Amino acid sequence: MRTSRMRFITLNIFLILTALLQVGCWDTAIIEEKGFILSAGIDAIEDDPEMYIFTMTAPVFVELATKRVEVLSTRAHSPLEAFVFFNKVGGRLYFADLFQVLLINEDVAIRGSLLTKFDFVYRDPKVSSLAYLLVSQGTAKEILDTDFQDKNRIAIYLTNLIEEGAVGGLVHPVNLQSFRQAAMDSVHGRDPIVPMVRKLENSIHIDGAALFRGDTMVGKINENEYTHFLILSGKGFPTVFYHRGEATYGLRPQSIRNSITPRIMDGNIVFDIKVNLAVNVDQSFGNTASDLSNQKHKENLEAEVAEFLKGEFLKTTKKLQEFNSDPLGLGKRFRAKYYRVFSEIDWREYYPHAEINIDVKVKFISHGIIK
Amino acid sequence: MIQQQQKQHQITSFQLIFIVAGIQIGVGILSLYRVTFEAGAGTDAWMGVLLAWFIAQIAIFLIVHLCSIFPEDSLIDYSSKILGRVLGWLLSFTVLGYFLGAAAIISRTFAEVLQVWTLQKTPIPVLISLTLIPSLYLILLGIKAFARFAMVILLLTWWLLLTLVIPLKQGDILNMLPIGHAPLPGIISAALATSLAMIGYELILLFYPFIDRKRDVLLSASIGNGLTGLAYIFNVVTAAIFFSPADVPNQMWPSLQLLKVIQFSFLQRVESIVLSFWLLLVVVTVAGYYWASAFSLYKLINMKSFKLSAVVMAPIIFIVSLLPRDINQVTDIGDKIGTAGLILSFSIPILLLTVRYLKKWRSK
Amino acid sequence: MNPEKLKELEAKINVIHKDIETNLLIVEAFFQDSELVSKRITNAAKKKVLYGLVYLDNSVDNALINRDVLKLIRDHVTKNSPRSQVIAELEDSIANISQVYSLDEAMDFLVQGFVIFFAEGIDNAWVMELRGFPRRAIKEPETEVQARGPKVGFTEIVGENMALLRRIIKSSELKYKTFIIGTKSKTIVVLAYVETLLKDDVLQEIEKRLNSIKTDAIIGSGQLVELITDHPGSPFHQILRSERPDRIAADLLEGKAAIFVDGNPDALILPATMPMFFTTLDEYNTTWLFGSILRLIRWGSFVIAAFLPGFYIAVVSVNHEVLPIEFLIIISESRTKVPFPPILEALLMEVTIEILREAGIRLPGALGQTIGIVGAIVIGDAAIRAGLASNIMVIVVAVTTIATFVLPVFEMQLSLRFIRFPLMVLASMFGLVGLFFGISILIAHLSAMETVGKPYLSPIAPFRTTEMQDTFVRLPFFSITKRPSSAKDIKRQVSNRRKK
Repeated sequence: MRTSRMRFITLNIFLILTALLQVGCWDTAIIEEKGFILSAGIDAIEDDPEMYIFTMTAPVFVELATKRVEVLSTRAHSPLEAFVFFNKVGGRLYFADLFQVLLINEDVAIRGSLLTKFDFVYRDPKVSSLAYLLVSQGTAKEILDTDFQDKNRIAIYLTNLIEEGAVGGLVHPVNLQSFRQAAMDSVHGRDPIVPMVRKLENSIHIDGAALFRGDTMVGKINENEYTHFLILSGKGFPTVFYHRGEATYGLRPQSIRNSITPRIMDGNIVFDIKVNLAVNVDQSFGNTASDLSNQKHKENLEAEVAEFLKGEFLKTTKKLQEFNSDPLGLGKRFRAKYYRVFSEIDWREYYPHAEINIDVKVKFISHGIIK
Repeated sequence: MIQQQQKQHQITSFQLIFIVAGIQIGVGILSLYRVTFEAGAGTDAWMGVLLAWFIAQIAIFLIVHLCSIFPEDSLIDYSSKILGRVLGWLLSFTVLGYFLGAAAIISRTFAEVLQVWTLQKTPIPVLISLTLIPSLYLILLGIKAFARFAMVILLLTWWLLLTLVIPLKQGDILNMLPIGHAPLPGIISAALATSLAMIGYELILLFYPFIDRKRDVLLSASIGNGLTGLAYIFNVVTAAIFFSPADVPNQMWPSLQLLKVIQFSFLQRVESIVLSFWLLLVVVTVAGYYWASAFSLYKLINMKSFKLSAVVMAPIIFIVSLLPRDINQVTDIGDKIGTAGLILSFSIPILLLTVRYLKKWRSK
Repeated sequence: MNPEKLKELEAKINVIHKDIETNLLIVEAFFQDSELVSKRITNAAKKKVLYGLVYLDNSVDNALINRDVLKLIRDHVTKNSPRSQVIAELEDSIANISQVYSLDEAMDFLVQGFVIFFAEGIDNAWVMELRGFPRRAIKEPETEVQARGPKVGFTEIVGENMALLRRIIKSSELKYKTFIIGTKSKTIVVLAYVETLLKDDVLQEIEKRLNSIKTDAIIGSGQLVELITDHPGSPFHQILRSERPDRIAADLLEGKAAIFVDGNPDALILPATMPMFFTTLDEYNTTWLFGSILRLIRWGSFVIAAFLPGFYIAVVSVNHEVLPIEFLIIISESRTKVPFPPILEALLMEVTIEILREAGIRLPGALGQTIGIVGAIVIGDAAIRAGLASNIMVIVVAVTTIATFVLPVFEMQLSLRFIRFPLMVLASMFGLVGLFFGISILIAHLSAMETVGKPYLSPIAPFRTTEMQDTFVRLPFFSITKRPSSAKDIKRQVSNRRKK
């Protein structure tokens, strides 16, 4: 009898507690009534170093709407300020839950201290860290504002561009999270490198990459150098072209095995970079093109390509050193091996003068179905 | 008689593994890497966790040794037997307060995490009741149900560790190198800083009389503690590889931040899902401390039924959990509770065992 | 009958009177205004009543009475044989005949369809089983169809059911214990078990529960379930009902007990655990590989049926961030016309489905199916066109409903229908966190339940490795060497295939 009364009392307590829980739906927000910011762009204004132009796009689901994407733009000091403004004009509340792409104009990147400017993006856990970061040549607004008729919505187009590019080994994607890690790592000897895009007639072109020191852009490398950087760092496997006389070879790395070994020699910092490439020959034409089934010709060509690539790599690393940007993470490797030395010196002073030795070995593993 | 004994021995020693691990793994792991990193271990935080695991193992050994002297009694019973009524009562009361505080602060911490990460507008009291209501329900169902619950939850949630593989792949091993550059004092203070994450084994002091095979208790508790240690070390190593050392002090909950980069073609932002799963683990932790505090109260003032004391305890825990003003205070108190747990789990067995041996020696 | 007379008569029924007429009058008085037939057989001179027969009309087989009883007695009466010879011959010619020593007892048999036989001058009576209830043919049960296996189902007559069971377990270890429950209905309840497998304390506990039932009538076996179950308030059934003799036999051989209720074509199995609700004999009737797949499909369906609507609502109304962008666009586009919040939309569709389902059961065969299909297609399509529901929601609800039907036991389907709704409401308020709040309470509830001392979640919690071989998967027979731990004798006879 007593237990049943007890049970009755507890049951009632549960009912009351559950009823109390039922009072509100605080965080319920219906999906199609929210505005999802999928991409955003930041442009600089020349006459005011503190002001920026923020642009955002959100997909439109309203029936009979002629445009697929809503584009809003405003001048503001910070992303949050712009965000607040968008909420005031958009007619719906905007969320960055599914943020896909952040485009930064070159000038903004050069102005620097991006991390502090993006504080809002990193502080709010709702904002997706998966958004890709791109540096745009030309204004970001122009890119976001264009409706590429034969492409998907702009944000998804850009995302696919990067993701498929990564699958093809043509680009190393950088998202907000990895940018932050790399930029923070600047003191430990690693810098971010962010792909750059440029608007063409009816498409967007990945064109080289922006070099950063910390969270400030310090220079850029062109498409070719970016290709070499990707192979050198093992982060991609883009096709390289080699011209010899009248012959042109298209070489696609199949596997890349790299090792970077720091050492100290006579008070100098030396990095030995070994690159082992196994490549497919995808193209070989011209009058003087070698017969690849001939072992000797093949070996000759392999040595030539290795020599050529070594020169290219050295040029690229030289350029990186000139900008004092370290996207290869050489400093980090040095720190891992010579932690005490690293903590005593100012790495930024030593990096441009560090000696870099590159040793390239190339092996052709396949030349298709033609000799 | 047989039935009575069966009624007493409700937890199998196998289930104790999951009880210990389930109570240990709570909210502590969410900020584990930052806490150990900041305490001075740096990227060698995993060494601190290893040391903390070892400390916990010693505490388990002491506690089980104390319990095996009074196999059919809980701490509340024998503390007055050893220390005398007043001192024993005082000790029991301290322990009760500690359990209460732990239950309250853990559910509050989790409520804060929930509010920051997913349910921004939901008021804190409601979020606290999200963990307190299942806990209340669970302990009203009895300790047997609690043991089974802990086990089912651990079976349901162990795979969450696998999600760490993706950030592990995305990270850079260079972040963790060089290994072993942290000074020893830093590692020791990191080990002590993990106390909130490691506590939970001290509940054996109360569970012991309910366990069926007493000789396996030490083994089970050690395995449970070992599982926790492995999970923590895996978590910390992943975080160390994923985060740039310069960024770690900025991250409030690195273990959740880690998961933000996970993306599948059908699902992304796994941290929301993991956080929801985490509710189950936090319920085990809160229910464990809740049970301990209600049980202590029940034994301490000789209440008529355990259920009554559980119901009485509910509003007390709820109010105590509402006392901290903001999240900084919550973190502060959480750390203090962790330290208190560490101190208690060493001082209780040492104190009681010493007094007992002294008494024995004198009576000889 | 007025109370005084009842009292007067009740004083007389604890014996059998030597005088036939007294006996017959008392019985007739008790069964006034009913289908009682009392037959007095007199000697040739028609002066003296020698024998009396009492039975309930239509409950007995008239042809049998004519052939085996009346003709025999008549012959002897004509021949003036002595009484002892008549009785001896009667006892020899009727299979089920026994002596009773009080009218009270005799009348208990009478209501079960027995024939009472009185002889003049003898202070006991005989009860003979010459029952002839209306019966139906043995068919395959419609609610528990299996792809393979015997096409036999229980009928409404408990004796036949016992015989069907005995045909499968041909061993003296199969025991039947009979209970009469219900002061008015006097329903025969039979407890069946295998003596060497069912634990003694379980048997005692079940017997105690059956004996302690005090009720007017047991009409359906579901009623009995509620009277003997441990947690009547739970949405989960802890006693399994099956109409298949093969299933019952299989469970008895795992150390369970079965209860038959006369008038019901099913048996109750207890103690039942949750995994048993996911089991059919189909898995055992095929190779272990496919058996395991069937099991996994069922557990998967359970998860879908219980949690999919809640998950969908959580994602659509709170946790949008877990959706990849492609999904977001699909869902948002399908929801643009819908004026309701997701929870309302889901409840609307779910309730419609439940109504359709209920309507389908009540309507006769073919019409029921038509209603189901027409209702589902027409209403679903119209709702989408009208903009009252989104495509995705209709898909979610349809998948959920179909997943419910995968579960082989009707009771589990009912439970699923029940637990879905609270989870949906919680999910709409707190998103995934709310869903898992509900799940934690659900798991707590499940892990606390026990049926006659057997944990409901066994063998998951408490964990039993040997039983896990036959829970989520079914391993080959030769590797399952143990019975469930609740059986008295755990060691199972297995084929020696491996040792060859």
